[in-house]
Amino acid sequence: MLWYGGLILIVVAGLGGMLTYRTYLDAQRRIDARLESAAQVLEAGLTAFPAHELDPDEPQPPPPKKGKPPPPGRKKREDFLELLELPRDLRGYYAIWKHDDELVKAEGIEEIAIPKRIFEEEPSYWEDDDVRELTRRGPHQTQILVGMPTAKELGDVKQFALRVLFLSLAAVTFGMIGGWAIAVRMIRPIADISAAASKISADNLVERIDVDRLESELAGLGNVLNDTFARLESAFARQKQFTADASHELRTPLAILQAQAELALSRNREPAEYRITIEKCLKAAQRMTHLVEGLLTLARSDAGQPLASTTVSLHQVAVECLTQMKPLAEEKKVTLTAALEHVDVPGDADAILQVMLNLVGNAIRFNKPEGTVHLSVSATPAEAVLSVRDTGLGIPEADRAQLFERFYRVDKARSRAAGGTGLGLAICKALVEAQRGTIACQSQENVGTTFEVRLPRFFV
Amino acid sequence: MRVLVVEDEPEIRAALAQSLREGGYAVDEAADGNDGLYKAQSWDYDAIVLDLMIPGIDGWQLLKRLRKTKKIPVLILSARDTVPDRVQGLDLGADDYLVKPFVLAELHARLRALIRRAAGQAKPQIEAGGAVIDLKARNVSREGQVVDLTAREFAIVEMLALRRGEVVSRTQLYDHLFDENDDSLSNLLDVHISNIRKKLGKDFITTRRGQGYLLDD
Repeated sequence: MLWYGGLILIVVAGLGGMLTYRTYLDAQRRIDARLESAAQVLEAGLTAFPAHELDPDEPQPPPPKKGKPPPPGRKKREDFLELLELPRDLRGYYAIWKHDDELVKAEGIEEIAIPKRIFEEEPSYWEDDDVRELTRRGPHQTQILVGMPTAKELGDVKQFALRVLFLSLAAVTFGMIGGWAIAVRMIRPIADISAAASKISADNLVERIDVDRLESELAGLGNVLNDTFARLESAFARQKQFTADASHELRTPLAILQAQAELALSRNREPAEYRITIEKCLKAAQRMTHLVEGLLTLARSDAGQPLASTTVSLHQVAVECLTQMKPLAEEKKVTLTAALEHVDVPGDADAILQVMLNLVGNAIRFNKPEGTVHLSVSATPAEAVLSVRDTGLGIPEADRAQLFERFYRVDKARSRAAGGTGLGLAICKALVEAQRGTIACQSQENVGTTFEVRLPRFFV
Repeated sequence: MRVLVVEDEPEIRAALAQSLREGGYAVDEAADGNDGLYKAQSWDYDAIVLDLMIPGIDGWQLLKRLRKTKKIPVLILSARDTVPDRVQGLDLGADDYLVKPFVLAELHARLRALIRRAAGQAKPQIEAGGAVIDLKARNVSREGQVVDLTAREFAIVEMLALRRGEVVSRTQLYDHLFDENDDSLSNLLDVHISNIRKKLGKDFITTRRGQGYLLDD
């Protein structure tokens, strides 16, 4: 702020000084021009003088004959002197000397000594505080001195200088205040942005920068920040939802264990009742284990923990999957079919098996009775394609977007009855993506659903 | 006392219902929000145990809609344990909030307290008709001697004691003492009343013909 004021001051002072100096030079030039023209007037007067009156080298005219009147038209020295007249508005003075220092005429001045500089060939100027003089040679070897008071002209300059000074100070003051006002105006939106940004915390993510009040460049910045805040908010919201869901899911089996055990112990029961209680507790513990395993798998993948990378035969993994799923398929009266090519991919065999078990398991559990599940493994030049097709109810379009989200269940009651944790597809997605693959779902209601996993055959 | 349990987790619902029945309550069950709201609006329960994350309309919605017409005590039983959840639950009109996993004994105590307070009763012991009715121990004593009552008999005494000085109709007694699955044979109530009179004296319960029963202050 201060350096900025100093800069304005220097610039204004420099400009003002230059202007004043120019004005002073102008005034001096005007004075000199007037002195010059006055001198020319005097010279013209002197030229009219008979040469011998002034110049000793000129031959004297014959003296006038006695008794005879001087020839008509002949003028006396006094008449010539009358001709020497200064322009009236000059309000100056002059003196003329003959070459022998005899004063021819002086006017407008009481007393004047012949200045030394007068003998110089060139015209010269001299000045003191209140007058300026021009000395130069005139005709007939005379010396002319013309002077004039400078008070009025230089007074104008002084007045001008004062005005410039005043205006400069006004300009600096105005500049400082204006600059400050502009700076405040420029800084306020930035201050607003930083105030809004500082209010944003994990507990308060709804705060936004008011973009409408900002100038275009700052509005751009505001928009970028608002977008970031919005992304943060949704990430936090998802995290919060996940935590709430996870705690609900983890507490439920605990609540079952607690309630069942407490109920069984609250009075004496028949052995058969204890047996039922213990079975229920065991089921709750298994559910808990299943859930914790799933959460740990997701946590590992969130932490970016790398999977094993060996050459995996998808054919072999698919056969293993079919073997493990056979009892479930028989129980649910679902036919398992397969079309398996021999394709190898780099990756983690356990993870791929888990994905397949999950997809085939879902396909069997959520199938119609007497339905089919078709597992196929094929290849394109770059990718291995693993697909699981069922003849189930299909997934409503509204649910498909959230299908791979943690704890998202299309049919809550049914999923739970089937022993699902709500994490299966989220785990599949995490495991597939950890191996740089993609997973997608196509579904038609009442016709069936196909999940397709694509894994790169070669790591680039 | 008749309570409604709205809980979608079958194992928890079953355990809760069994435990409450063994504690002398008549228990109705609902597995989702719609069924829960329907039942809650159809009967005058003495209390409702409500889970929040349930299919159909969720627990909050159920509570909001229920509170438009009914002031039955509601105890929220939820795995959602954050302060905002609890605050929201209570502000929507719940009377208590218990986080899962919970201890059954605590749930029982809270339910007793809710029912007692709803009846304008601060103490867990009620003196009426020359006997002391202990709502916690679920027994009745006369001159320091505990009188042996069956669970049903105690439930009738409890109900009359909580509304002592008031005539309680037979329908009200049926509604509060039997759950949706009970075969409520009307003469059964007369049998219970006469048994109570045998044990606690003829004048313990007054009969108002055509109106119902009354326990004097």
